[in-house]
Amino acid sequence: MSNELKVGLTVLLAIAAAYIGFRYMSDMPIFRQTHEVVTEFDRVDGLGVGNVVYMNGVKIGSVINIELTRESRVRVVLSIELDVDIPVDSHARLTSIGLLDGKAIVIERGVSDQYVKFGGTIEGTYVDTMMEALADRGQELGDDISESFTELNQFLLKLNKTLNEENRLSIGQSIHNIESTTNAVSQVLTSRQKELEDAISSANRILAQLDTMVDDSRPQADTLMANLKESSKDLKKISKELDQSVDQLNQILVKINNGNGTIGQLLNDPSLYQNADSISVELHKLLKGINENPGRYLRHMTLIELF
Amino acid sequence: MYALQELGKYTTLLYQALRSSTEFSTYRKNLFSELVKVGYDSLGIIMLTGVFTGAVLTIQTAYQLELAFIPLSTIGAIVSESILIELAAVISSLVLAGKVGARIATELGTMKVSEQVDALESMGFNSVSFLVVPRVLSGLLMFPVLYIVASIFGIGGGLMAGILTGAVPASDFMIGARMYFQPWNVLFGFVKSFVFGFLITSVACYKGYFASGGAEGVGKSTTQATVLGCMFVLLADFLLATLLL
Repeated sequence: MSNELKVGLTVLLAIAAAYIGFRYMSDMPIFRQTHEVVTEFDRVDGLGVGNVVYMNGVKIGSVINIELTRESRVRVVLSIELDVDIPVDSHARLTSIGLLDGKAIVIERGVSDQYVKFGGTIEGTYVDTMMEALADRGQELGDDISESFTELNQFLLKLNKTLNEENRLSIGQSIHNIESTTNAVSQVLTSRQKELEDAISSANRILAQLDTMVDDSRPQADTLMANLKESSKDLKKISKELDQSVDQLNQILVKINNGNGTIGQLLNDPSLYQNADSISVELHKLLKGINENPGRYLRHMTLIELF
Repeated sequence: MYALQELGKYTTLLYQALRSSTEFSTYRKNLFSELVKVGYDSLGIIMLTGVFTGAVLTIQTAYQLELAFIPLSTIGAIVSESILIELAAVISSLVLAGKVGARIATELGTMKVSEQVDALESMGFNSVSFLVVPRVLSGLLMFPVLYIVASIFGIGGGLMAGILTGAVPASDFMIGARMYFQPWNVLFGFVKSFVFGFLITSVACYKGYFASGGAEGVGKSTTQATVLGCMFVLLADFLLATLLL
């Protein structure tokens, strides 16, 4: 290989590599063409050429140009992959993707069935990052925090005052007492460990037996429940019928009260009673008559005749 | 006084070289052989330098950034930007000061002490045009090319180290590298490599061209060419950083 060829090859390869590398690092597609979409923001703090464009969290392109417009807004040109269609009512938000920095444009898909053409414009809004929001409210926050600390300080001072020597002593004693109690409890526990263990194991056994018992009697309980259910159903029916009967009885009683029907007449009309009364008076007279003078009535009624 | 004299001789040599740079036919053949020696033959060592620079940078940056709240992509950003703006140009230049600078100083020094330069002059050749111009030109032309190679292999090495050690996934690395990628930094790297190429080759030519004192003199001039080349590279790096950034 001649020297000229070697030099030419080296330079050519280097230039090609530089071109590809540059396009790659600026996030421009290396060979494929893309379409361009324009959007406008009030400000673009931190956005740079090569920043990424996302849609639904998927990277679909990058920023290829940023310039100020005459209306002192910022015009941002995005290069978008060819196979991504962007509805005309889509919205671009300039937002930060990390906590500290790193800006990206997020396109929120519109609903229109018409798509942005090459060089078309969509709306854009600048979203305050967390840090900027923090910076805006920093003074307020700082005041709040210092106030809180002052209060905390005062509280601590008070606490300190409350905890004078005497109190400290009594607290110390309390703690000591608690300690000795705990020790005693611990000793008891240690000395009776065996029994405790026995108790726990027997409790375990009982529980296990209970468990088996419950398991054994489960079918019976089930049938019982089913029977109960049926009975309650019957009860319901009966109570319904009873209800109806009471209703009817009520109606009847109302009728009786009003004096309708035989029983009603019987209860309400006094004439029957009067008749009966007069009859009984007559009967009384008759019986009296018979008693006083039986011959009068039994004149012809001899024993023989009678038989 | 001595330094000023040296500077004067150096400037005169450069002036002669500039004046005779129009005599293309004189140094055409030499130029291509020099371009191959400076560029093509240095590709291997530059690739190696680049890969290891990037790899070490990634691993150490990841080690130093083992803190919460710093996204992994930061590593990619730091590595690729450091390589593009500084390391690809400076480290490869330091390596080349040893490789190219020493070779040029030795070649010219040997020719000088064995009176081949005088022979050329007596044959009517312009020795500066024949020997110095092609070497300096090849430095000017090839250092930027080597800068490209060092950058690509450096970032690639960093990426590979991130993947292989599990320090940073490829996607995070590239997101960071792209997010903070600025074309100006690449241009700055180009300017640096251009300047470094000129400094290393011209200093080596100067030291070799004015060598004297036999084999010992050649050795001395070679050492000085390498050391001075490295010093000038670092000095120029500082000056460029203060002037252009």
